[in-house]
Amino acid sequence: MKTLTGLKAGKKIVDPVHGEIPVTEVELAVISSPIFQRLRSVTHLSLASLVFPGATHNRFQHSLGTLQVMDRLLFTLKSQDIGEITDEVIQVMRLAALLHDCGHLPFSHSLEKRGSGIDHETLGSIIIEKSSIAERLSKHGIAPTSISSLIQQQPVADDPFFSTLTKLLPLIHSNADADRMDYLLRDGYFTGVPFGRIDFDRICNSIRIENDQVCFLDKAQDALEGFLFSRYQMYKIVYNHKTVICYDLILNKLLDFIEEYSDKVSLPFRIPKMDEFLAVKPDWFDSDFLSLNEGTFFESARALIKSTELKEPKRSICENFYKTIITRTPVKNAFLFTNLAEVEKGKKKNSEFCEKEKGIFAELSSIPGIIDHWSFLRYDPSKPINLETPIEAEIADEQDYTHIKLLKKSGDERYAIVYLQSMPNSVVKSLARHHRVLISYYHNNAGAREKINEIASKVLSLENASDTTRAMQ
Amino acid sequence: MGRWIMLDRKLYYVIAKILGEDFVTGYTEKFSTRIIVQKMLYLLTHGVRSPRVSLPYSWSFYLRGPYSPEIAHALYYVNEVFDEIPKEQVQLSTEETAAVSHLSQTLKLIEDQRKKRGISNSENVFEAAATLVYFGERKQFDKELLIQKLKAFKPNIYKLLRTDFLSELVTVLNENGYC
Repeated sequence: MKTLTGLKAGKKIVDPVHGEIPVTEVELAVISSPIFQRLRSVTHLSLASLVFPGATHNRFQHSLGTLQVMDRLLFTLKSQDIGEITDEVIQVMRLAALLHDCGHLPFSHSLEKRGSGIDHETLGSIIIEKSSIAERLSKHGIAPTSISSLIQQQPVADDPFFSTLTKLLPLIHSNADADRMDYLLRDGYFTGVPFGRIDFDRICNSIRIENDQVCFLDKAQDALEGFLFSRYQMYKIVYNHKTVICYDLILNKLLDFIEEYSDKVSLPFRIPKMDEFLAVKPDWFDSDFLSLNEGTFFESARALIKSTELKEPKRSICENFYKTIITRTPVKNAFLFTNLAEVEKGKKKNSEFCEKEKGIFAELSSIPGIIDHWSFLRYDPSKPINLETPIEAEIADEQDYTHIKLLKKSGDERYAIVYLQSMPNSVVKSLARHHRVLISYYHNNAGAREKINEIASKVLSLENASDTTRAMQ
Repeated sequence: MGRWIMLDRKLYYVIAKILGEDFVTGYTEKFSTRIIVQKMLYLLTHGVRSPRVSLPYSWSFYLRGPYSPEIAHALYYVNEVFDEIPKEQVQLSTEETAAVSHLSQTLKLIEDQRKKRGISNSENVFEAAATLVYFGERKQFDKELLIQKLKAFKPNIYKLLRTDFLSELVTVLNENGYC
């Protein structure tokens, strides 16, 4: 039994997206560690399953899927016979793919950087170097730092395969990396939405290394643009669904309560700080750390609500948040503003919108019972305006590795490397010029919703509010 | 999740202070400008014993040496709005002020050596300097090893800058606490 790239495989794991995924002995050792098994309890899309019931998949499945996509990409590169894609390089790249998300905390991105203040890549690197994963890798002759540094996008200069691993970095981190390919396919499959489908085979078959750079044959342009557009659609329809955002916000508010009372009430859910992660002994990751999960989060919320330390009116507010998630009771959307602003204009509008939003809150705070009511939710308290780039505008810089490059025939035997968005017939480059502005408020009281809608529409100067806002009365 | 574009006055301030305002507004125009800005910022925020400026951007390492896609984003789209950025004095800490001054002095020493040895291309020097600092970051200082690593990873730059200049470059970087 072998992987597609020819490594000896000890087992095959069946996956709904990719079918059979062969894993090598060292990968099996890593997968079998308690810290990796923990990923089974980290939902991939957090509370999105409250809107898309099928979306109960987890980081464990996605990690295996990313491993398989990586193998598929390496298989094409290996078959070019450039000599650098050795078994050792393949194994390191496969492990980096497998472990790229091992630092995710419960609810994935929803609570990322809360408490600990660190992102999942940094925490993942700490886990790889300090937990039993390090021992399992070392036992098979793999330096843990070779993997952790790739995840941190900083290949170790001492690694014997440093040059090749540096060249292959875009397979782990870029706009067309193994991670993105798997999560689009997987999220599309599990949510059931008709997006996220990509021409996976064409993209994988077209990958090349030319002049040390990872690029794709230009015949894959349509497939790559479809891939980028698919991601854009998934953001719009799934990841930033207004109800998904609402539950995300409630989850964060519940965590606010848990963190506030963690000193007074014994609660099992507590996210350690960065220095604590660095100070713990290796066996902590395979024991106590495992109790930091989505189950203990809700257990902590329940314990807090029952605690005598939590007094009214905070107790009722906390209980309302908890019940809203547990019983899947949506908070009504009072105001939703989505607008595609051009990059330059959007950038100016970023601060402009922030100022305007302050005006909205100033007016709303003068009306009793709106912003101090438990059900008043805004998109994100720390970032009032969500200005996101659905498709990142190209940065035509030889230093960059994140943007998709195409290999275009420019003569009989000559090829030139060009950026996807530089192609004259590129359809995604126009989308890359835009940012999506998303402002969303929620409230359960009909009168309050009406006021929020009225004031927000007025302050944001929406002449024809019905075109850009949807008030869910 | 989507990337936030921040108008980071501190970032623009340190670039303008060390390299000149043209390096902020002209970031997109020339490859050499982009290389120099990125590598200078790497030196400013790294280094073993040198004072540092704290900037909230992550760094990676690719074919042309240390590179921050986040800084590239922050600079790539600044041209259109540069005039609107408030130009009041940015408050740097004492260490950060020292870091700006220390790097300026170190770059002057390197620049003098470059001119003395008739090397025309300064972006190669910046690229080599930042790459050497990256190579030397987590290790005991070893001049020969650093030069050998640079030779293996960037043979073209090694050929262009030559051993004598690279030796001097590593010495300056070491004496000033960068590697």
